[in-house]
Amino acid sequence: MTDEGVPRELLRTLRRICLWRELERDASAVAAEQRRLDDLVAALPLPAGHLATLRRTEQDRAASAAALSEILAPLLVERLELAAAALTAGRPIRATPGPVPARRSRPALPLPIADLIDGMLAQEAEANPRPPGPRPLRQSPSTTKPPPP
Amino acid sequence: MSTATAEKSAPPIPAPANPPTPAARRSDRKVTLVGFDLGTNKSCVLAGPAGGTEISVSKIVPSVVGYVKDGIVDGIIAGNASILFGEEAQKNFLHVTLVAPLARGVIAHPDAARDFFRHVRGLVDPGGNAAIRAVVGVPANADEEARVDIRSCATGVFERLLLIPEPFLAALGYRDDARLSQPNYVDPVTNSLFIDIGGGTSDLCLIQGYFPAREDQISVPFAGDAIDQHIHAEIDRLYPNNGLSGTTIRDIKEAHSYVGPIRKPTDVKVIIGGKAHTLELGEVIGRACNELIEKIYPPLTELIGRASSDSVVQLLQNLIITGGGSQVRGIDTVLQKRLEEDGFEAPKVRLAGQDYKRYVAIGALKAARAARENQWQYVLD
Repeated sequence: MTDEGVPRELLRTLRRICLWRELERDASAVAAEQRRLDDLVAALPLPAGHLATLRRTEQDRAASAAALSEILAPLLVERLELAAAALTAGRPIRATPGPVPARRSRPALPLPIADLIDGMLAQEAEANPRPPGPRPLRQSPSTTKPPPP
Repeated sequence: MSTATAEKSAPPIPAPANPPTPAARRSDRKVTLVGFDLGTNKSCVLAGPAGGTEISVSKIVPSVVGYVKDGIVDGIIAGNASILFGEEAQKNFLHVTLVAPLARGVIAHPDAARDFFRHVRGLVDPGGNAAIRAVVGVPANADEEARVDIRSCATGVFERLLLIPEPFLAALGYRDDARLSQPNYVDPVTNSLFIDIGGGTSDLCLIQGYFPAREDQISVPFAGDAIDQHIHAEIDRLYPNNGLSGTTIRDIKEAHSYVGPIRKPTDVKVIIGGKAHTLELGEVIGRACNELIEKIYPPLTELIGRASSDSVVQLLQNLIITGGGSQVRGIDTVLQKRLEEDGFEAPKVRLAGQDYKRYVAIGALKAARAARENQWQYVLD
């Protein structure tokens, strides 16, 4: 399948429609089909079946984009919030661990658990600016059979 | 989504044949929360639904995987399974190769660890339909490599993960939430020092109302397993060719461990070569266990020294020992006496109590229930 010879505007409109469908924003998709896509198709007769092929391609792209955004967006938000938490605590985010900080005074009341976890995550972000996530497994002594006891 | 497109744009994410929409994926699956104390010798798993307080699964599983040896006759292993876990693996030790996924608190055999994680997932979600979010305890001061190993092994097994140091989770688990409003109740999360003595590491952690910083936590690579090794080596020296297994040595330690002045005689009955023998092990066990005191006392005083002057007096009333090492007889009194002799102001060392095996997992489940959505880390395939 090639997009050659197809107006960029038509492809963009199709892509937008498919993305809205993927995100279950059907009303927006229907409106775009009726107000925009029909006019574009009418102005540019396509070979039989070509529009359906283009639509399938854009559906694939939209599905991939939605899946990626579902995974990446929370990670980005997490990173931004960690950075914000560290800055709020008055500590800049450093690429390498800094010197041992002075002892903090003990709060009068314990913080909620979620706030304590925020403190932990801020410390991790400070010590290790790389966002957390899976990395390749370290090589096991054996990948198929376990080692002898 | 076509495979070709998926491979091009998102290599780590396999494309299901009929991918549900993101909204459908989110809403269709029940979320189960897991508190997971991943121990070197024993692991504790607690699970319950999100948004509730009940505990639907509570299990302590020996941290061991048994890979069934080649050539085992059908029917010897129940269900002709190829991998056994925990007690089942130990019971069938003649027919399996036993692999401990962890050593000294960190993953030593990633493949076995991944299999063990899958087993844990099966315990909490036999149907395999739930979205599992797990808070996993890690040793104090676990380095980034140790954390990455856990995340990697959890990838594709749990949906989301949060790694939290074990002594902090022990404090959360030990906290009696029902008594928090009582004026005379001293919340361990507010001001305490936890000594969590496990199989691979002894973790000490100063907890003073905020999340402990790295310098508030010290992990010592000396704990139950090291005591076993000392006892084993000394028995081998005194009684050559005894043939006692590591499991027997651990049983002897758990039955007779103590610290303080040498207790003699401590007669221990063992079977060697099919015959009963009585070994006098008072000195062997006492010396091995007293070594634990020598290892944990310096970091204990170091952490006490880090407490601010306005908090240290109350802190000294809340020195709490948990983990398997809390079962060593006299460990609380010996540590307390040593602190007194060194001039610390009215120290009080306490044992966490009968539930010592579960406190980390209880704390982990509490943390899982309290964690905000953005605090969970994704561990998708």
